Amino acid sequence: MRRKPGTLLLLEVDILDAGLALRRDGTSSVHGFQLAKAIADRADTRAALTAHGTLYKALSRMEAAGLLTSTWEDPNLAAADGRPRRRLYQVTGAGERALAAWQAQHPKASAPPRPAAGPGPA
Amino acid sequence: MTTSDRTTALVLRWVAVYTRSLDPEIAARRQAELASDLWEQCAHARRVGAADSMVALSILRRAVAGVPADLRWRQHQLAVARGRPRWQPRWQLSSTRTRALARTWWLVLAALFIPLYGFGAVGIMNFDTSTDSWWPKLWYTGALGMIVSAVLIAAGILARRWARATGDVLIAIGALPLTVSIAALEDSVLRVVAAATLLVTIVAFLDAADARSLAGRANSARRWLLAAATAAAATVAGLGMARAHAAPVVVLSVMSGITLLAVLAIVGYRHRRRPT
Repeated sequence: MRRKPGTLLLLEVDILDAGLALRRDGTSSVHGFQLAKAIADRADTRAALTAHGTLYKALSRMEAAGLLTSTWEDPNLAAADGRPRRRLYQVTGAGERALAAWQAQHPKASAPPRPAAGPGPA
Repeated sequence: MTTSDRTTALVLRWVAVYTRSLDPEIAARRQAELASDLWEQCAHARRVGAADSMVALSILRRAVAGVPADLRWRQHQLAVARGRPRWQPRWQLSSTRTRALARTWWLVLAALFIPLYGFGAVGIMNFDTSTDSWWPKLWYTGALGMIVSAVLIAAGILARRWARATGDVLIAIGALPLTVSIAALEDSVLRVVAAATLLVTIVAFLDAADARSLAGRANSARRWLLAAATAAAATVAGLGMARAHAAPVVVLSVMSGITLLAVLAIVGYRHRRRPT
C-alpha cells in the first residue's frame, strides 16, 4: 500500500504532537531524544523509545516535507555543558496544520499527552 | 567503561558503517545526531538513577530495531547522490490502525496466550466430574501452572498502562513457562506457540529495560509484587510439572529460567547508577 500524498504516518503524528506539547510547556525547540522520550511518555502509546533509525529517518523526511525545521545549537553552549551539540527541531506552521487536519479526521486517536513521571531531559 | 558506554560505542560504529561513502555533510549530520541522542539518553538515565544494564539494553534495542530504517535511509541517500529519481518505498504502513498494531503486536500476541493457556489447562486436565476432584488434578496435570501464567499475562497487560516496566515483567514471567519447556514439547503446533512465547518474553523484557531506563526511582512495592509473582510462577510451574512427571531437567529449566528472568528484572530495579 502506497502512502497517500498529504497523509501523516502515526510516528509523524506523534512527533508533531510531542513537539507542540513541549512547545506549550515552554520548550520552543527540541532534540531527537527529547522527542523520543515525550512520545514514550504518552499515556495512549506506552511505547518504547523510538528506534534511532526510525526516528531520524522520520525527522529528515518531515523536514524535507516542511513540517519541521532544524538547526544546530550553538557549539559553545554544548561545549560549556560538556556534551555533543544538539540538532534542534521546531514544528512549522505547515506541521501544525497537518496535525490539526489529521486530528480532525481521527478525533478518537487524539489523546492528551501524559505528563512525564520524572524530570525530563534538559 | 560501563556497559552503556560500550553499547554507545558499538552503535556509533554501526552509524559509521552505514554512513560510509555518503555525502560527507549528510554522514556527519547523522553521526552527530546519534552521538547527541546517545549522550542525552545516558545523561537522562544518570539523572533519574536508572540501572546501567537497563540503559545499555534500551540503547541496543533502539539500534537493532532501527537497522531496516537505517538501511533504507542509506539507500535513499545513495540514490539522491547518483541523481536518480527520489527513491520511494514500495509500500508504507499509512493506516493508523496498522501502525498501531505494528507498535503493539507483541501485546496482542501476549493477550492471545490468555485464552490459549485457559483452553490448554482445561484440555490437559481432561476433567471427569464423576471420578476427579479439582485440586489434585490441577496440580497433577500442571494445569495450575498454565492458569497462573494466564493470570500473570492478563495482570501484566492491565498493569502496563500505569506501570509499564512492572506490567512488562509480569507478561514476561507469564509467558516464560511454556518457552522454557519448549525442549520437552513433541507437538509441532505447541512448539510454534512456545516459540511465540519466547518472542513475547524477549520483547517484554526489552520493553521493561527501556521503561526502567526512562523511569525515576523505583517503587519498592512494585519490586515486591514482581518477586511475589516470580515466586508464584516458579513454584506453581515447577511443582506442577514435577507432579505431572515431567523430566527433572525440564522442571529445573522452568524454575531456573523464571528465577533468572526475575533476578535480572529485579536487579534492574535495585541497582542504579549513582546520579552525577
